Amino acid sequence: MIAEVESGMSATIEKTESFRLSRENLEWFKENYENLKRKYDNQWVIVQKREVVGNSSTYDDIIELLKKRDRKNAMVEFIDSKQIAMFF
Amino acid sequence: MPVFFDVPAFHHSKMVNFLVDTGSTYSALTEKEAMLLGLDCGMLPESKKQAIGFGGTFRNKIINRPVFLTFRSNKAEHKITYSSGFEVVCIPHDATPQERESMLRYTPCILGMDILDKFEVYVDKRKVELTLVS
Repeated sequence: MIAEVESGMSATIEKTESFRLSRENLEWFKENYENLKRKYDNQWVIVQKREVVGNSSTYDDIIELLKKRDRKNAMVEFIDSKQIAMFF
Repeated sequence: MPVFFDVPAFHHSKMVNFLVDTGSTYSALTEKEAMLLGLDCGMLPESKKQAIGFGGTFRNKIINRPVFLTFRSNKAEHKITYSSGFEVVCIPHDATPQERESMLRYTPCILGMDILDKFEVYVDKRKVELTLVS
């Protein structure tokens, strides 16, 4: 019973931490998008701990890079300086 | 919109950014995010739904286990249990490498009306702000 409660609490703490780190990465990505466009235009990037830790021009290559890292809380996004019109 | 996406049956969870789409009847995860979550699209069962976009038809798969979606603001947290099978939009087998790359780059995860219906939705166009009230 105590082990179950501890396990539940541990999962909650892990989720809260994951939420916080992911949100920090997302906010950092949005705030720095203009700079990132200049540096990584037309490329995939891996963002971890508020920095770009890998980049590549194809999805398959960025996934290979990601496999070499701890992918927990990693954000993988494509950067494109061209504005894309989307119709839904 | 950032949402914490949790599939306890597979022990996979991850923050996923969704595009809020009031024109979509259902929500969907992309193959890219499913893969980052640790799910193999090839192992997921086929869905009866199809999605059309980017000049072709995606093949839809389904996460046939309960999915928990957690929405969090600075003030509150709201959790939704999604038990009816969460859609995953996968790249068709016959897509060329260029088409596949394009689909992966530009296809967003969608938060559709099946989930938005559980909230009151307010849009403030001046602030470019969307508020969900549970």
